[in-house]
Amino acid sequence: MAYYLLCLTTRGGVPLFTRTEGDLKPLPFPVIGSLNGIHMFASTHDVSLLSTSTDDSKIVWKVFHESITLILVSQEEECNDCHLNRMLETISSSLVLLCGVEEVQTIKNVERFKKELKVCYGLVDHLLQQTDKTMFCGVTGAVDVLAAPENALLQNFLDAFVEAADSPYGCLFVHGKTAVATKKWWNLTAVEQILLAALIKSSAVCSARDIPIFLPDGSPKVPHRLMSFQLMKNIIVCVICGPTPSLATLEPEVTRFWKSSYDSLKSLSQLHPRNFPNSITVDSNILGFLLVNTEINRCLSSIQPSSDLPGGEENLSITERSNVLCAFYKKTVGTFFSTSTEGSEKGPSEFSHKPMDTYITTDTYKCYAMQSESHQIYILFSVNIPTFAMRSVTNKTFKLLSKDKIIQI
Amino acid sequence: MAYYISNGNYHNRKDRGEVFNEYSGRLTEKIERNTTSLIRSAPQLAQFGGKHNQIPSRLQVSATSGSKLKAEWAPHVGERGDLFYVDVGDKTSANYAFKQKDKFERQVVTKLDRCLQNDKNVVDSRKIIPYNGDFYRDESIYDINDREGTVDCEYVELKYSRASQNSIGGESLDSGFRISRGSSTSSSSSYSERTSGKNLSHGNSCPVENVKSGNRKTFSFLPDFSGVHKHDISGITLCEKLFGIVLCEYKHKPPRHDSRNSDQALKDRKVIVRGVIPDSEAQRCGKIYRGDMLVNINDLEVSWLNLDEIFQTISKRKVKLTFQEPVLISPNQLTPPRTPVLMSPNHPAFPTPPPTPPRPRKCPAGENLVDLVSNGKKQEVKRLLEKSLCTVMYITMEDDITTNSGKSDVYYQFPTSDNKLTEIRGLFPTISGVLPEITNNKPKISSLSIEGNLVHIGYWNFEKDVLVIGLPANRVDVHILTSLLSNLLRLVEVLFSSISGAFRCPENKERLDQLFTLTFHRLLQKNESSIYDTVLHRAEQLLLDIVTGIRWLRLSEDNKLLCDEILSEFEAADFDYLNEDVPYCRRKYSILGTCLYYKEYLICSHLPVEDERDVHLFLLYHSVLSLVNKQSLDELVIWREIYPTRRCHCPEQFVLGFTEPDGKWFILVVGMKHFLMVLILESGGCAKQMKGTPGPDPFFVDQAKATLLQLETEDVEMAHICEQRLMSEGEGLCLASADILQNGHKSGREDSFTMSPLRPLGSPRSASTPAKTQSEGIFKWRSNPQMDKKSASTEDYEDRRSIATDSSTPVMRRQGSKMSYGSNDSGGSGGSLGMHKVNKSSNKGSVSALDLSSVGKNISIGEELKQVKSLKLTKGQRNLLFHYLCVDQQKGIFVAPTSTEVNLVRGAVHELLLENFHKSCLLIHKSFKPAKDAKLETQIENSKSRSNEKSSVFGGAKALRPISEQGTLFCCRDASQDSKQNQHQLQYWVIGRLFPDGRELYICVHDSVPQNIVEMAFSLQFGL
Repeated sequence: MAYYLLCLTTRGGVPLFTRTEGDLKPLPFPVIGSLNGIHMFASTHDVSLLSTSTDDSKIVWKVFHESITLILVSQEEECNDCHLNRMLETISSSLVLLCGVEEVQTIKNVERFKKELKVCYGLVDHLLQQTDKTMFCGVTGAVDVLAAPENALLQNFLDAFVEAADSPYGCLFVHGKTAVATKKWWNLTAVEQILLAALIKSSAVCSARDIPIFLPDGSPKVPHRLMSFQLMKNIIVCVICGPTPSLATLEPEVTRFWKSSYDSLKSLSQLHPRNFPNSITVDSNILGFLLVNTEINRCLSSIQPSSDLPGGEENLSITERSNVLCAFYKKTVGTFFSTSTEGSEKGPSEFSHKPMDTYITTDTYKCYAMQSESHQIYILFSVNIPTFAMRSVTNKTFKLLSKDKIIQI
Repeated sequence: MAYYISNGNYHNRKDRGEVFNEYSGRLTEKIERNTTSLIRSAPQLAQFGGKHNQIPSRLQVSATSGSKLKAEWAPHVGERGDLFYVDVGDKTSANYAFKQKDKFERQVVTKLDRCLQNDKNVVDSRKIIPYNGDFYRDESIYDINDREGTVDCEYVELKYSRASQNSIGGESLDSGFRISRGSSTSSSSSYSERTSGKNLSHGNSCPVENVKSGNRKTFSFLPDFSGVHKHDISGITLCEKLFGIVLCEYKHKPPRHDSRNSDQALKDRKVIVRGVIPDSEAQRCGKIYRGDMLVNINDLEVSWLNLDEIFQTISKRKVKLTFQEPVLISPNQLTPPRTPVLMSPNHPAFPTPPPTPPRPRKCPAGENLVDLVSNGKKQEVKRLLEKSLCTVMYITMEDDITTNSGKSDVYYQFPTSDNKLTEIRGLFPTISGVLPEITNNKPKISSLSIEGNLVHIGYWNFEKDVLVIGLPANRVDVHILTSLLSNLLRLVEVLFSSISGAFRCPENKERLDQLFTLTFHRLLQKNESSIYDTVLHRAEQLLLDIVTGIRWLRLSEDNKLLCDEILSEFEAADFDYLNEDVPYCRRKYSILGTCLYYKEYLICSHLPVEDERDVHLFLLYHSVLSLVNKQSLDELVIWREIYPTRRCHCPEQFVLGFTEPDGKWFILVVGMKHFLMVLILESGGCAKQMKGTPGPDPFFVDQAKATLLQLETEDVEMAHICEQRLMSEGEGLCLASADILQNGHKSGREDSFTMSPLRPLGSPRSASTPAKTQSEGIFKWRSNPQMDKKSASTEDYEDRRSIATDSSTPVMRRQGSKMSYGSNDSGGSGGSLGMHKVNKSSNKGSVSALDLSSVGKNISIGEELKQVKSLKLTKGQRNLLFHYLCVDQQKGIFVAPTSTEVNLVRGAVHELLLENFHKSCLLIHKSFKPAKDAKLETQIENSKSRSNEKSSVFGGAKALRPISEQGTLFCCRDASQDSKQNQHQLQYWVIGRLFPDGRELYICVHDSVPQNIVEMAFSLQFGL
C-alpha cells in the first residue's frame, strides 16, 4: 500500500508534516498547498470536499478538532470512504495520544507544534505501513487478540503485577496482539488499545520504557505514563499509571512477578502465527480467517491455521493471504456488512433485508463472509474448495471458534 | 447486404420478371386478406381518427418524388438537417391501445407508394388522391398487367401491403363520413352493427368527417343510351357508355372462405373515376377529374356491391351523380379548420360519447419530448432540476479567459439557473490541474457535502477544459455516475463528433439541453413504483442503464426469422429508388444496418454491436425508449448525422486489403405505435457522397414506415406476437414468488395466500379471475387466459396452437451432477451454494400450491409457441428461482423476465426481494468491472511500455484478483413473527457470475436450491 499523508493547519494552511509510505516521490510544496487550497476554497463556500478519486488513487480530506486538516492520498480507489476516514481518525487520535488534545486544538506556535509532532512520526508511519501482516486492527478497527490456552493462567500473573504497579491498566502483548489484559484495560476504547499496541510495536526494541501519553478518549488533557517491559522476545507487558511508581522502582519487580510464568510465556509465543489454540482444527482448505466481534471490537485472525504450510501454487503466501483478507473485508464492510466504523452502515442500510452471507470466487482463491448478531467471520479458502461447501464449512468454523472457551471474543 | 448499382438492378428485375405473374395471383389474394383484417380493425381506427384532428392529413399522401409534397415532419427539420419529430396522437387512444393488448390495432397512416407515383401510366401527377387506398390497389393490379413483368416480385409484395394499409385510412374515413350524414343505407347500418358489437363508442369517428376529403360536387347528366347493348350489365361499362366516365376496374376475385369479409371488402371499396371519355358530357362539363370518388347516384350510396344494380336501373331521365373531390395537401395546410361535427342523435347504434375537448395542437418537434416523457409536466421537470443539486458544466482554464470576471469561463451550463455547484465551479478545474501532479491521473469522481447533502461530481478532462457532471448521491451512486458519464460522453461523441467541439460550440446548446433534461429527468424523477406495470424499479432502471446491453425480447425462431427477413428485405434496398428525372444516378445512401425495437425490447438487430450500442444510448438517453414503452406513437421521425464509435472514435484495426469507406453517417429512427426502427445510413462508400448537412430523406422515412406497417400485416402481426410474448406467463423461465415461499412456512390457514401473490396486481385479467378454492384457483386461473385468447384468436392461431400442443412436455429437466463434495467443481470454475441440504420440510403448506401452479404453467406453455417451452431453472420439486438477469456483452443484449412474468409472482416480500436483487447486482456488476478491465489493462500496458509513456504512480497489483463469482445471502424475517421462530425466515441468494466470454448471469434463488450457478447458466444458455 502506498500513501501520502499530509497534515496542515486548517486556519492558515501551513503544512505541519508530510508522511510518504511506499515507493513514492515526495510531493512538492506547491502541490501540497493546492491540495489543501481546494479544500479550503470549498469550505469557504460552505461546501465540504470529502473525496476525489482517479483511476488508481483516492484522496480524502478531513478536518479534526477544527484545527488540523489531514489529507490522505491512497492507492485504493475503489475502497469505500469509510475505511479511509477511519484511518484518518486513527491517525488524528495518535497525534492526540502523544501531544494531547489541547496542543492540537489550539496551535499557538506553529513552528513549535511542528517540532512536537515529530514524536508522532514513528507511530503514524506504523499505522500507514501496516507492515505486520498478521495484524488486522489497522483495517478492522478492532483489537487483535491472541487466544491461547495459557491466557487464564497468565491473567493471574498480570493482575498481581498490575497491583504492584499501583495501576488498574495492564496488558500483555504478544507480537503486538493482546493476549491478556486487565478489566480496566479492556474498557479502554478500541482506538486507544490499538494505538497503544501500535506505539509499543513502533518503538525501538528495549527492555523497559516510560512514555508520557494522553488517552484520546479517556483523558485527552491529563497525561499518563505508559511503562512497558520486555519479558521475552516479542512479549511485552505494559501498564498505564500516574506519577508513581517510577520506572526504576517497577523494573526490578518485573522479574520477581513474571519469572515463574516462563513456560507459559514460551508456549504463548510459539502459538503466534496461528493465534488460536492448537486443540482446535479447522478445515484444511481454510487459508486464513478473520473473526470480528463488532460489539466489543476485538478480532481474532489467523493466516496460518494449519500448522503445516504446504507448498504449491494454489496456496498463497502469508502476505498475499493477509492482503486478500484485508481487501475482502474492505469490500464487504460498507456494502453488505456494517461494523462500528463510522459510515460503514450506509451501504447495508440500502437493503431492506439483512445480508447474512457473502462470498467471492476468483481463479486462485475464494472468500466467504458470514455475520451473526455480534460476530462477523471472513474466511479465505483455497481454490480447491467447492463453492457450495464454503457455507457449511464457514458455519462450522464459526461455531467452533465462537463457542470455544479459550477464545473469548 | 447488397449494393446494387442502379441500372444493374434494372436488368436483374427483367430477368426475374417472368416469375412475376405467378406471384401476382398470390399477392392479390394476400391483399384481400389484408383488407379484411384491416376492416376488422376499422372501428378502432375510426375512433382513433375521430379524436385526432389531424388524422385526415395523415391520410393524405405525399406526392411524386417526395419533394412536391412534404411529410408532416418536414417543417420541423432543423437548420443542420437534423430532425426530432414525435407525434403521439391522442392520449386516450394510447390508453385504449394499452388496454387492448391482446388485439393489436393498426396504424392509420397512409403513404403513397413512390413507385406508383412514378408510374405515369397510372397516376396523373396533377392530382393526389387522399382518401382511397383501393384506388391504388386496383390501379396497381391493372398496371402490373400492363407492364408485363417488369416489376420485381418482392417489390410488388411490399407495395401491396402498403397499398392495403392505405385503404384502412380510406375506409375509416369513409365510414366516418357516412355516419356523419346519418344515412341509413344498408351498408352503413350493417357496418354499425359490426362496430357496436365490439363495444366501441363510435360517435368518435364522426369528426373525421369529409372536411378534409374535399368538396362534394353534384352533376346532373342525361344518360346517353346510344352505345348501350343489352348485355352490358357491368356497372363500369354502363357508366362509361352512359356518362363517359371511366371508373377504375375492380377485379373480382374468387371469394375466400369467409365470404362475409370479402363482401365487406367489396362494400368498402371506393368507386373512383379513372378518367373521362373525350367529347362526353362529363368531359364537356370539365369538372370531373380523374381521382374523384363516385359517392351517390340519385342520392343512393354507391359501392361495388350495388354498382351494377344501380346502373342497370338507370332510366332515361336525368341522373344525379355526386362525386367527392380529393384534397391536395401542401405543407401550409397542416392545420385545416375544424368544422362542426354532424351527429345523428337518433341513430341507435352510436351512443353519444362525452364531448371531447378539442386537443390543443402540439408542436411535435423535439422540444415537446420532455413534455411527453413527464406527462406534460414540463415546468415540474424544470423545477425539479433547479431544486436538485445537479449540474453539467463545461469549464475552461484558458489563461485569457480566467482574468475576466463573470461566467466567461463556462462554455456550457445546464441547468441555466445557478446553484451552489456553479458557485464553486473554480474548484473543478483546479482539482483537474492538481491531481495529475500527484498521481499522473486525471480525477474521475469527487464527493462533496453541500449543506448535509452528498453530491457526486464526475469529470472529463481535455487539455485545459473540464466537463463536470454533478448529481445528488441519494439518487445516483458513485459507480452509476461513472458509467453514466462514460455513456453520455460516448453519446455526445457519436452525435457531435468530438466532446470539446460539442460543448464549445453554442449552436449545440439546444440539443445538449434536450439531452441533459431528459437524462436528468430520468435519473431524478420520483419513483412511481405504485404503478407496477409500467414503471421499473429505480434500482432496476439504474442497473439496466449501466449494464452495457439492450433488453432483448426472445421470440420464437419462426418469428425472429420473420423479423430478420423483413429487415433484410429492407436493407437490401431493392426498392425502386430510381429517380426517373435523373436516370443512372448513384443512390444517396446505403443502409449499413437496421434494428427493430418493440417497446423497450430489442427484437432484432442487424447492426454491429458497437453501432447497436451507439443507437441504444441515443434512444435511451433521449428517453425515446421509455416513451415508446409508455405510449403508442402516431409518428416518430428522428434524423441526425452521427459519428459512429466504430468508425470515428476507435483506433482503426487494419485488415489487409480492406478499408471501411469514408463518408457520412446518419441515424434515422422511425417509430410507429410501439415499434421503433433504427437505420444507420452511409453516404459515401457505395453511395453518393453527400455535401453539407442533408435533411432526412423522405424516401427512406417512407420506406421505413412501410416496413413497420409490413410488420403489422395479418401475415406477420409482429406487434401481436410481441405483445403476446410480453403478456404471456409461461414462455420464459418460471419464477417463484418469495411471498409464497415465505408464507408457506406459516400455517397456511389464510384462504387467500396462494391466490393473492399470484394475482398480478396491475393486470387487467385479475378482475375476471373467479374466486375459487385454493388449489383449484391457481389452476383455473393459469389456464383461463389461454382459453380466452384461443376463442378470440383467428383460425390461423388455432392451427398454430394445435401443433404446439403436441410438444407440451417441459424440457430442462437435466439431471445435474451429484452433489458430492468436490466433484462437480474443478479448477475453480464451479460455484454452488449448499451441499447442506437444508432440512426445512416444515413448509408443507406451500408444496401443493406450487405444484399445481407449475402444472398449470406447463399446460399453458404447451399451447403457446412451438419453440419456447417451459423452463424451470432449479431442480427439484419446487421452483426456487425468484429472478434472473442474463447479460451478453458480446451481443450487447440482456435478458430479464418480462413485467408480466414478474407480475405473476409479485407480492410485498417479492417487491423487496427484487429491490435487493437489483441493488446487489449493481454492486456485483461493479466488482466484475475490474476483471474486465484487467484484460484491457494488460493490453494497454503492453502498448504503454512500447511507447514509454508515463505510467501511473500508484500502479501495482490490485489487492483482489478478478472476481468470477459473487454471491450474497439475504435473510428476510417476518416482522409479525416472534424472533424465536427463526426457522420461519426466508433466505435467498443473489448470485452473479462472470463468464470468460464476457457473459454475466445474475440470479436470485431460494436458499435451499441444490444446484450451482454454472449448471443454471448452462440451462439458461441452452434455453436461449
